[in-house]
Amino acid sequence: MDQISGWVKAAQSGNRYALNQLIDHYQNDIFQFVYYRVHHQADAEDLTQDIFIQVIRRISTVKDHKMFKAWLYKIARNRVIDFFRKKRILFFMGTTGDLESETCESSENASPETEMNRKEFTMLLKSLSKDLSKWEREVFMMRFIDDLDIKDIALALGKNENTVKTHLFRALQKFKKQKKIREFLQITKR
Amino acid sequence: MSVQKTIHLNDDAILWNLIDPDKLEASEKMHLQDCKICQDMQTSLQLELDAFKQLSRAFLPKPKRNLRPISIEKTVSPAFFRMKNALVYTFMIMICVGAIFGLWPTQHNNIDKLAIEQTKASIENMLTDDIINNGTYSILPVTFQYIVADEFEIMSTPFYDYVFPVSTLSVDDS
Repeated sequence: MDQISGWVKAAQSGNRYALNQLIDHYQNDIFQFVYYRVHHQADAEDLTQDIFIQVIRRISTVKDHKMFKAWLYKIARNRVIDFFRKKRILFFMGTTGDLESETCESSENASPETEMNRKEFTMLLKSLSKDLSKWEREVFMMRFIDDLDIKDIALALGKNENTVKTHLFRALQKFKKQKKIREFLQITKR
Repeated sequence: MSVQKTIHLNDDAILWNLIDPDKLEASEKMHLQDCKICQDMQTSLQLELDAFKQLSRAFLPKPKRNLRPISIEKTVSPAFFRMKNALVYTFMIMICVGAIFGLWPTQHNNIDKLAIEQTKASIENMLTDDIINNGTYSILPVTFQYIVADEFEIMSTPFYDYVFPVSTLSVDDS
């Protein structure tokens, strides 16, 4: 049994230390997952907390401890979908300004160059997202931003592994055609 | 130089090799092992994707607050202390208190009243039946009435004749 499975099992039996360990281990990953979908820091922080509250409430329902990561990302994805659904309703009711958040907060300690690169990266990522279909975008981001393997992506999305691979292949084809983002990546990696 | 080396892998094959190397045919795999150009193409794409991953991590803003849920103690506390359950328990206690101090005496009163009414009704029935059918008046139950030596027959006593004289009756009847 690996460490994560051990923590999950202990957390299911009411061990608070194990639960805290799980949260601490995954909180940055989940924050990243949420942030690159909502592009708003405060919303991402709120959603991450909500996701972990749901995790605490439902951890007893995890049957296979090895599938915890996929289960966690499934909860995270559903919570993000809920967020956008509520936001869309509020937008149509006229109680919120923009459907898509354009907020891009600056980091306090980042240099101007880093800040500029960060803004450009966010812009290019949004541009790439617009080119991809819903499933292509989801699979591509889960694979190359969240670093999930094909099996976990399939479990989190409730799809067949071959379907995930096909979406990923199409997404990579479109990524290859995005010259701006590829140039940006080549420049920044030097 | 072999023919295999001159036919390079196309873009799709290189992409598939990144996603699922098992999808490539044996000849394509062999070519990829030997061909520097195809290897460079794949490495270049792989590096770009790795850089994409690294940059997404590097450009992620640091959370301004602790992301661990604040109410962690509350959410894992025993269910008994939750508000919903507390309300249910309060309601149950109220029902129990009501049953002990309110419902119990009421039931007793009802039972007493019912018993008294039933007794009265049975006595009345017994008296009227006896008076109408037998012309007898007795407060005793039917079983005991026959044990008594002298039956009090209201219709055949001198007292009755005194109250309702025969002549008066005959005058009224005529």
